[in-house]
Amino acid sequence: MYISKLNIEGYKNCKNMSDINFNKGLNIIVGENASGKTTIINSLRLILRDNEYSYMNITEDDFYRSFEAESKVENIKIDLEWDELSTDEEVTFLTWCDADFKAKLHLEVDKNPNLRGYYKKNVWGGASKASAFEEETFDCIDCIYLPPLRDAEERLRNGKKSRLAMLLEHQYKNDESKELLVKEVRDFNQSIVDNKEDKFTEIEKAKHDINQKINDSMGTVFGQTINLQFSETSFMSILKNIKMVFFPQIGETDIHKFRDIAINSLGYNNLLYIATVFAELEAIGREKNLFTVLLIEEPEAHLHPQLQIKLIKYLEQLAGEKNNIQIFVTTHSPVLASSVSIDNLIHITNNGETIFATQLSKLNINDDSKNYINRWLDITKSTLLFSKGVILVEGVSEAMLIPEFAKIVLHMYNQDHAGKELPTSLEEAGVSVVNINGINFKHFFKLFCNVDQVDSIRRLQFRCSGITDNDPAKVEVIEQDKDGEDKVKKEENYPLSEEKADGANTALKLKKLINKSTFARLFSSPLKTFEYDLAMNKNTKIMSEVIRSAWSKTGSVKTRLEEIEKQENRYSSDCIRLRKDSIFIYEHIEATEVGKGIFAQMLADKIQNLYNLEMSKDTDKDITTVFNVPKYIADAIIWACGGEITNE
Amino acid sequence: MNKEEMQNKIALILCNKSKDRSCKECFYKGGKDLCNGHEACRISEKTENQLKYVLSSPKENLYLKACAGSGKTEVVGMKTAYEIAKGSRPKNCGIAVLTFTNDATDVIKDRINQFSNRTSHYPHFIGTLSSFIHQYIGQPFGYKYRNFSGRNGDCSFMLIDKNINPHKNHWLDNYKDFSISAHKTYYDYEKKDFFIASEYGEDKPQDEYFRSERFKSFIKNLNNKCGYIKYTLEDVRKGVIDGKRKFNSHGFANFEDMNNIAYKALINNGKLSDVLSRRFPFIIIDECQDLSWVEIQILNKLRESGSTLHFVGDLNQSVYQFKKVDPDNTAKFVEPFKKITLSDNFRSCRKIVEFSNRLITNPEKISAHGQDKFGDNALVYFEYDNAIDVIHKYSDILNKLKINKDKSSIVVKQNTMKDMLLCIDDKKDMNLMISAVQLWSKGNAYQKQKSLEYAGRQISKWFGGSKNKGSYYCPKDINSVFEWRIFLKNVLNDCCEKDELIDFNQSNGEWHKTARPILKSIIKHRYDYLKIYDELTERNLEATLSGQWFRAKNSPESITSTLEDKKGAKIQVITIHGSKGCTYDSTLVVSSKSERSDSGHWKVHWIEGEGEAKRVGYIASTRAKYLLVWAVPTLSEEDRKLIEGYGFKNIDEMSTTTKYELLERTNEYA
Repeated sequence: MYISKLNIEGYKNCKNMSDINFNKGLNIIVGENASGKTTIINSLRLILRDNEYSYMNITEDDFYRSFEAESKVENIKIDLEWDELSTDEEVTFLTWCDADFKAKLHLEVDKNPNLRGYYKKNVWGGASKASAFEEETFDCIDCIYLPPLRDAEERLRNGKKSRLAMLLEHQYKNDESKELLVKEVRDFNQSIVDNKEDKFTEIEKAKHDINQKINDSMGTVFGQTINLQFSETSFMSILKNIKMVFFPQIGETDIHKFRDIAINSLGYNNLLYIATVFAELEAIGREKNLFTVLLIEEPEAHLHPQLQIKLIKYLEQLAGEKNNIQIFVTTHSPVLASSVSIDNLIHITNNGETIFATQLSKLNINDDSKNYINRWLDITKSTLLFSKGVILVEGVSEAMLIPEFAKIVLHMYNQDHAGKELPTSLEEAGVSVVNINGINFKHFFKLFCNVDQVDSIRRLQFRCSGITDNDPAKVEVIEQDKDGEDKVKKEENYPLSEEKADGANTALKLKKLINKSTFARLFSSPLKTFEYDLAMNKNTKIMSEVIRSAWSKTGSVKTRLEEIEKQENRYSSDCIRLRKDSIFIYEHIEATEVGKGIFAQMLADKIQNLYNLEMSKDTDKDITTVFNVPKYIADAIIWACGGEITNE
Repeated sequence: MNKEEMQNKIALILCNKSKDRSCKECFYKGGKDLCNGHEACRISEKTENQLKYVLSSPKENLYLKACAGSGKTEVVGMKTAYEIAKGSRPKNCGIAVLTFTNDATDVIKDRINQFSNRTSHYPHFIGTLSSFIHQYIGQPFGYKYRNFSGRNGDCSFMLIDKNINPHKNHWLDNYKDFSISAHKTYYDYEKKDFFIASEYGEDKPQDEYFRSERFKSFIKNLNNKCGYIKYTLEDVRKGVIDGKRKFNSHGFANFEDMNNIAYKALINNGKLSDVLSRRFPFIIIDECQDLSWVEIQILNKLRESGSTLHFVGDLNQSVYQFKKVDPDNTAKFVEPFKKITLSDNFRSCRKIVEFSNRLITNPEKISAHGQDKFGDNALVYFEYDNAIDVIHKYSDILNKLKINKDKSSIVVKQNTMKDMLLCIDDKKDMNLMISAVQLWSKGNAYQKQKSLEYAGRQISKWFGGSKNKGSYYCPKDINSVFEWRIFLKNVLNDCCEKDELIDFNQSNGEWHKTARPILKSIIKHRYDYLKIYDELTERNLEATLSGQWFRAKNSPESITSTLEDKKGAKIQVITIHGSKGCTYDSTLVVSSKSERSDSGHWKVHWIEGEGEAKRVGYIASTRAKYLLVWAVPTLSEEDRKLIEGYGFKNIDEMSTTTKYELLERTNEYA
């Protein structure tokens, strides 16, 4: 069996009933901060009675409170559902089953505390409250929680609550071996007390002195007797006194070399702690009818990237091998997110009232796309899973320039939308620009919408815009060769207007369906390509300046560039001239002297400087003088940041 | 296996007794805690058949026929503990021990705890049959088969009593057709017909109801109002079915519906009975004679899926006719089962055993092992004229014979008789406050509860009202039932401190006249403490307590006493259904005065009656250890001969010498 569904209502940052579906085995829960990842983990701990958590009472802070002045607090409701119960599990979890033999567990907390300020929890199973409920069924669920930034040393130390004692307890299955251990320790203790052959005279002496002082100071009536020995000789207290020591390499057996974990590094102590928990899982896994839930919050804490990958691969394997274990991991680490199959990922967003969870395995993505995305979702790209919005671009130029354009676009947008302002930059908006290195938009948009047909599957619940080039096909021109004969020649198409620019880019076909979806939009350059369209949008001056500063040789190119600059972006209706200048710029960006990447980087720096200059003015700020961002790019930015775009 | 071998086998598992000791040695050498305070080893004191049952196979269906006083509960407790200790079931699977009352459940739980020393019974279930059927079958799975989609995510059916007042619950009109409300109807799987429950007399099947005068006059009225339409029986049938469907699909069910829903779920969901019978592979049913037809079918489903059934009971003690229980169904069902009989009565003395056996004309020999204190004088009767005298008289007898009142009990058939004996008069137009104060000032615990109920009913009216008797009519705006009860208690206490209010030698009108201002100030004073639980913050108590509502009828009638100040109030009065499985030193069985009364008449019902009427008399008379007293109405000479022919002696006519002898014997015994 496995937990297939969690509903949360009124708890922590979740007001409305939120449905969260889970996968069998491993679930990696990703999402931006405050999206509800910890709410999900805490709900699981609360309802499954995680050892440490269940003893904690519900407090006022657990109830959802909005920031509105007169917010009403509602009852907390948490529901859990299991699917695919085995025949044994049906018997064990009978009182949690509904009529279709799905196990269900519910927890309700009344919003009104009693007079002592205690909130009453109401727990019930199955479909109806009036049915039998056996508390003991909880014994068949083992819920283990690993917090982020844990103080591993504290938890590994010997003592009552030590994880190590729990593991050891699970190891001892029969009374005979328990007795054997107790006997050995008792015999050893006895030998100290007996002090035969005067081996332990010093201890004997110390004991004697203390007892003597007790007698002297308290007298025989009030006095007590002490003994000096290694731990009390009951089974549990022996376990509690067993201590973990370490040596920093594999395979050491010489006990003299092991040291106290207090001197170990924080990161390694965490690993030792996690290993102890895994060993405990191993020990209890042998028991039948036991379902284990392992909750790990942000395992990346203290671990360097290679260790993170190793750990997550181990969890993947563990979850794959065993039927009765389900693992939930929350993470902010792109390393973790990118090193497992996307089928394990659960993406979480939150609109302030509801948590939206998307199982990437349920997006109806075919295997081709899945394999592509699995390969493609590397560390940098998987940042999209932690964003509030994303802009997918074809190449490095867009990736570098769009953050700069965004400042201008957003500034202008906010001037026109008083009261509904957007953040002033992409970083502030939590929007990432992701370079997909080509035009394979169809694979990535599948995370946000169906690119083949309209359907009702809920996908990632945040905005995504794509920016692609129009790439019109080459035009055929008839030229006469030296012999005067007509020859068909293919020539670059530099369209003047949209009408003459039928795109050849295959991604454009996706536009219709993508733009019907709730969260995704694909925008394309109306004319040709990114750089050509930038130039054609009357940005020839600044672009020329950039090329000129990169151009080392003096000569006709520089002269021509200077000429363009003198035009001061003013072409009025002289489209032919604009196109001529744009073509010149376009062709020289690609020249070995400059290169697209260098150009984009230099242009971005320049825009940044001009923008800062303009913003530092006290009066007469005019951002429009910095750069004329083409509308399709502006739209893409505004869409991804959550604004409204107009069709004109 | 001989008796000793059986004892050994049980003790090895139940008491961890070592192999080389006999049970006797074990007991005298202070073996197990469970024998502490007992005069003999609890295992070796058992009869051969009792031991045989404890050792019987949990894989073979069995009927344990246990006569009254045969130590059935002890044996069931020991059997359960033995099976639990034996173990060897798969994990999380257990034994279900099903009883008919919570009291019986507690007794069996207590026995199991004595034998097995555990606090939690999981994975075993020990509880009532109804809670088992409701909680494990009907409630969790039934919603699917009644198309009920739940309210607020909860698919529990709300149990509606067949007898709730439809005039006070207008929501029931939604489920009404031909003036038949769905909460009153139920399908009888045995008779394959719908029945309409009646508060008075027997439930009627539809066609009978259709022909009844009541229904005819209803149709006549309807036709007068809405024009003539001829309604057929089929129309009524359809109306009843549709009403029931709607009622269930909206999540309401009466008790019979719940059983039917559970049965239906089992029929339609084969997996369900499979899982249940794996969860409970062994089911013991105590008091199996009280099983209704559908309950037997439900258990049979589990049997078919692999559960073993052990039926334990005495068909002569079946008294649930009102639940449509026919012990013949049980008799037929257990026919193929293996049978063990317990025919030793350890409770009652010879005289009582002989009499009760004769009462039900039981051909089987029952041996009496109970203490015999009074010999031939164990059966006595007295005649009564006035109900108030009954307790008084019985109390005198107990005093004379030095029988502990705490260990004696008065057995009646119904609560109406109980209220009559305790002088609680539940008339509809009674003066609630006067009765409440009377009962509070002098009553015992039961009467004080009634007093709280009356006071609640009255005061609640001034606070906005409530229909919930269970919460002492706690008004809906008061959010703590507990505090409401405390409030009532305080008001009543205050009332009883005012001499004017406990002076009942006046007319109702006079009482109210003096009470009005006093009661007003008491309520206002006590309300100050209740206030914080009142959600109606703007309550204008002054206006309410001066207004129309607060005014009482100016009745000139003098106050009738609801309660005599009696010394006999200490003896408990219990109903026959509540007395099942109980043992008392002495019991008084009260016959009704009228031969037609529902409360049971000694001659018409118990001696000359048949079926359940007789069985009621049988149960009531088999509770006593050494003294059984019948209180009968004034008898004719002929009737006197009849009752004395059964061995009863008239307490008033017993010569002083006999009485003296009786006393002597008692003292000897003491």
